[in-house]
Amino acid sequence: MIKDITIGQYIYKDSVVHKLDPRTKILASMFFMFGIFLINNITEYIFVFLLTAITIYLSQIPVMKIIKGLKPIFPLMMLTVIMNMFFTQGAAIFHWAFINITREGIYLAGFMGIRIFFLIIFTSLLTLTTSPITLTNGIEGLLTPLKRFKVPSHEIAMMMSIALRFIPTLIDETDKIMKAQKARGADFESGNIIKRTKSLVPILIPLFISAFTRADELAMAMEARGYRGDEGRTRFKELKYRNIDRIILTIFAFVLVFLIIRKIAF
Amino acid sequence: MKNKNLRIMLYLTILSVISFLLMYIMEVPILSLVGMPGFEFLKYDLSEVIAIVAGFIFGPVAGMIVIALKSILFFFSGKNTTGWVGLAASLIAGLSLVTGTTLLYKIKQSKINLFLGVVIGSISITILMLLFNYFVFLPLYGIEANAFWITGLAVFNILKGLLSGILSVVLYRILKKRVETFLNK
Repeated sequence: MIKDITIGQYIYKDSVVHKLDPRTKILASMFFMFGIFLINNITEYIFVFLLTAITIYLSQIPVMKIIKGLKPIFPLMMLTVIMNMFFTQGAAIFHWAFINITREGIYLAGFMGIRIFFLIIFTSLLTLTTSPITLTNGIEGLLTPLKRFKVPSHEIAMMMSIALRFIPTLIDETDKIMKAQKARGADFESGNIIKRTKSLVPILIPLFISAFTRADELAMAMEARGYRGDEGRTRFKELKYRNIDRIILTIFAFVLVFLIIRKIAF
Repeated sequence: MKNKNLRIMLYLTILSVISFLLMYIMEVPILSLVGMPGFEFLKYDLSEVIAIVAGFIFGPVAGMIVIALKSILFFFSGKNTTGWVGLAASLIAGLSLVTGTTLLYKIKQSKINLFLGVVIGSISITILMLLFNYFVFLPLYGIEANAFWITGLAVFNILKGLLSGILSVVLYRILKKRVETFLNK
C-alpha cells in the first residue's frame, strides 16, 4: 500500500552531470524550459535533441529509466498532438466527414509533441541526477541574494530538509491511522463524491493532532540543541561554482537571451 | 516555550509534508466521477485542505507557505509529470484558493466569514485558473482554448474550491479547540 512509496528518483552515478553545482543544474533547467518555448524551426529542434542526448550520455542514467518516467505524460502528449492535428486551419491533405487534417496541423502537432517530450526529459534529468537534499541546498544558494528583500532563504531550506526527513515518518503515521479507522469500519473506497469526502474527516483529524505533537517535540529538541536561525551558522559542505559551472551557465544564458531578443525583434 | 516562531515554522513544515502525502497517495479525476469525460489530467486531491486549515489557524501567509512547500516537494518526488509548467500551475491554483478562502477570516474571525471565504476562494481559483489557462498554459501546449476546455476547467475549479473549502471549514471547526491548547502552551 502507501508504505511502498519511494520519494524521489535520484540515481547515484559518478558522472560529470552529477558533480555539477545544484544551482547550475536548477538554473540550466529553467533556462531550458523558457528556451524550448521560444524555438520554432527544425534546425533548433535538432540542436535541442543533441543537447538532451549529450546530457543523458554524460549523466550515465540508463535511457530506459528516462523512457519509463515518460509513461504517465503519454496521455497528455497524445491529447496535445490530436488537438493540434484536427483543429489547425490550413491546406487540407486529408478529408473525411468532419475531420480535416492539414499540413500545418501535422507540423504543429509534431512540434508540440516533441516540445513536451523534451521539456519533461530535461526536467526529470534534474531530479534524476540531483538528490533532494542537494537540490534543497541549491535552492537556498539561489535564494540567498534575495535575503536583502527579506526572503527567508535559510528558513525555507531548513523547512525543506526537515520536510524531506519527515516524509517516511509521516507515511507510517498516515498508514497507521488509515488502518486503525478501517478496523473501526471506515470505508474510503465506495460511494459518491460527498460520501467519500466525508469519510476522510476521521483520517484528517488524527493526522493534524499528531502533526502538531510531532512539531512540538521537534521544536523542543531543536531549542535544546541551541538552534537559533542562521546567524553564525556554518556548513560542512559549502557549495562552490567551478569553471565548468560558469561555462555552462554562460552558454545557457547567452542562448536564452539570443532567443528572447529574436522573439521580440521579429 | 520561548521561541514561538520556530514552533510555527515546524507546524507548517509537518503540515506541508502531510499535504504532500495526501497529494501523493490519492489524486482523483473528479470530472469523470460527475460524468464529464475527457479531463482525466485534471486531478483532485486533498492537499489544499491542509493548507486552508493552516491558513485559518495561522493566517493566509501560513497557508501560502504550506502550498509552496508542498508543490516543491511534489516536484522533487518524481511523481510530477508535467515539469516546471505543472509546478507553476499547481502553485498558482493553490495560492489563489488558499488566499481567497482565508483572507476574510483573518480580517474578522466570524462564522459567516468562514463560509463567505469558501465562496470567495472558489471564485478566485476559478477566475485565476481560467485566465492562466487561457493565456499561458493551454497555448504552451498548443491547445486552442474553446468552449469545451473552458467549461471543463471552470467546473473542475469550482468543484475543487467548494469541496476543499467545505471540508476545511468542517475540519477547522472540529480542530479549533484542540489546536488552541497547543498554541497556548
